[in-house]
Amino acid sequence: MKRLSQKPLSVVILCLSLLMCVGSLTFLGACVHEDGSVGTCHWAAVACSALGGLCALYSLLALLIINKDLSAGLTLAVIPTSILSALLPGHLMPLCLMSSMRCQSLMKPSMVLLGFAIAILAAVQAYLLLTVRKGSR
Amino acid sequence: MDLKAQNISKRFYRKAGESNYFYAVRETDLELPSGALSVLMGRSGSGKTTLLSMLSGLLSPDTGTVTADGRDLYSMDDRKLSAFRAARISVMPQGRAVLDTLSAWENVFLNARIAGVRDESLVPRALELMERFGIPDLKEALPKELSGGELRRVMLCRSLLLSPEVLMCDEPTGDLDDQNTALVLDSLRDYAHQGHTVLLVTHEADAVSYADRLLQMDAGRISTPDPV
Amino acid sequence: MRDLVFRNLRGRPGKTGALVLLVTFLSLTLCGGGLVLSSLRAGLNSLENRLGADVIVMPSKAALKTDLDTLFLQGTIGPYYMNMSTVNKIGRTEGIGRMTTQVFLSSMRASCCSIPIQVIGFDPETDFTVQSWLAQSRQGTLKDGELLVGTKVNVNVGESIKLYNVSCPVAGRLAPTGTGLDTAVYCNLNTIRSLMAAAGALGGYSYINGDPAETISAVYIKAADGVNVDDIVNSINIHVRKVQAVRTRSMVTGVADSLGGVSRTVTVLMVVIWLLIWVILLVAFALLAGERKREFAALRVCGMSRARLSGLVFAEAFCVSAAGAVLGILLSLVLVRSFSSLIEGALGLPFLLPSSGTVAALATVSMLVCLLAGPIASAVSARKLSRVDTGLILREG
Repeated sequence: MKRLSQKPLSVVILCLSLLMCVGSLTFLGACVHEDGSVGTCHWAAVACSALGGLCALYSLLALLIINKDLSAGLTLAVIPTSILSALLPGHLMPLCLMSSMRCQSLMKPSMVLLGFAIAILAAVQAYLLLTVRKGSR
Repeated sequence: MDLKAQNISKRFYRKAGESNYFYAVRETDLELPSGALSVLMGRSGSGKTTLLSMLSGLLSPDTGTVTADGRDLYSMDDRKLSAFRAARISVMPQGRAVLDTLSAWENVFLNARIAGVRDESLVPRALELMERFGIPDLKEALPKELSGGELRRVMLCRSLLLSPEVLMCDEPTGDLDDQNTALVLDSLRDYAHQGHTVLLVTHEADAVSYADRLLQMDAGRISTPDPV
Repeated sequence: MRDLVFRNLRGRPGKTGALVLLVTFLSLTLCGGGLVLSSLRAGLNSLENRLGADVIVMPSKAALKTDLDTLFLQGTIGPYYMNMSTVNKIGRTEGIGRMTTQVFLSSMRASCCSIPIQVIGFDPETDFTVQSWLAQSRQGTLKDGELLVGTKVNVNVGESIKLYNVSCPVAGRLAPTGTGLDTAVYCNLNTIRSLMAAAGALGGYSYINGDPAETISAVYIKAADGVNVDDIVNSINIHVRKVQAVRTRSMVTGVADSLGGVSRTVTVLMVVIWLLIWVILLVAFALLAGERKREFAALRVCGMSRARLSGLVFAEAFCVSAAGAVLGILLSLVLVRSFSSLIEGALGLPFLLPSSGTVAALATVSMLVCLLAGPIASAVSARKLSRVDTGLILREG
């Protein structure tokens, strides 16, 4: 419980990362064409899912590891990973050409919001871990 | 500054809305002269804290008046009374009356801050007070990091910082060891002898030897209002 | 005293955070709901402006298969055509002020086309519906073979779209309308006819009968001044065979009706959620005030007046509200902007983000309401607190 109270944001980061990991392949993901074929947007979704999984792993370890500096390092590692996943759909990997498609209207904004939310939270959590007063008197 | 209470009473209801009440303080007259340490003793529940609250302007009596420097405290509106208290009457209550979000040092300056006093000369005085009461290292500590005795001394420093004309302390030695108790009682007597009005509420037997005036309280009345 | 407010807020990060979050939800509900409502209204306005025509005439088969209420959300009617002789008959109807023709073509999901999309060919000489809109985003005329894309087609100017193996350069991008028109591409009649020929050559458009030059999808009519539009509609429906004339106003009315329903639902939801959160905020302030009774007693003991104590509580509530309001407004802007396509699809109504002036007004109103709501919620507990005799709290030990 003490670990949780020291790293309240890590729990949120973990939840959001899992949401990104699972969501990008399911309810937030790209559509499959009527003929069953998939486009590049599908592969963008898979990549986002993998990066989301990586963020989840980092934040879980950061949560479990007691050493503050190590925990802060893992939290810092979440930042570039989540920003990458925010930039993947549409910017680094092409999506469908029509904005009304699921990949453009749902997946891309979801990944951007989730990615940047995770990055900001991770930055705050790392800052807290690195600057917190070294124990009380 | 002399403090004078005439015929003050305060009653409390045991349960709201019922006629089941009792008098915490009953028709009491009291005068606190300056330059003397008055010690009010009594058992728990005898009405000491209620009397101190009424004398210090924090609790309006049901009957009677409290006058300080010839001014009736409870005829002033809240703004004037608060300003009057901030400038001239200092109270150190029994419980932990500190702000948990401020450091010990900032808590020492709380009175001054509220009274709007921004005097550089207060800094050496605060340092001197903290030094005297043995807590110079605790400036940056937060209240939650302090023991009961340390907190008590922080509150005492705060009460003394502005050199108030009237100082009232409720059980200031409650959590202190013998050595520190003697230190605090000594300081209070010295402060009184510098011409200030000091009221000490306690059930500590040691305090008797420091008293210039001893008051005994029992069931809401002061039974021995004469000097020892 | 000001730094005491900030110290109190910073000293209790969890509780301050929770209160800020509550106000964030308040302002998110208010600003987000307001944005959705005004986007719907802007969408309806844009639909009205974009229509331009009073009457649309289309082949009867198309009218049977198309839900006319949602025609302008879908974009175009299906692959049903009439020939020029029918158009000429329509043109002889009395009371017509202006008339223009359009040809619709759908590209396919196949290797010949880079994207399945609706292509709208208009006649630059007679057009009065598309070109006024095109002029907003592009000067000059459209050359043969060039395309203009709706705002939701993610192809940049200068790039090309392949349609039936014909590579068409994109010459411009259109202003958003919030309707199905945003998901189409536009070209002149020559271009679309060559595209139809290409489609026919590929065998993909087998239902095109006869000469592409003789094939028209829809006729748009603007009534002459003082002419009753219903008379034109009735006259065409009686005298010209195999076509159906429809008043565009009825389409707008249909959209306006469902918009009214959605608006009411959104408004009711907004009010209910808002009140609910506000009551939670009220309770939260009361609980926190109860918890801080001793702290307030300490301030009173140190000579703080009731008025200043109330001021302190208000100032804290004000700071919390300001932070929450700003967060909520930013969040609602980001969310509504990011998911506007999704909202449009889910509601099935034209959805166009309002002008920046409207957005600024909405944000200001949300800010003001939250700046009032927070301190008012704290007023009850502030008042109660400052009434209590400090002596009583001290007596409780």
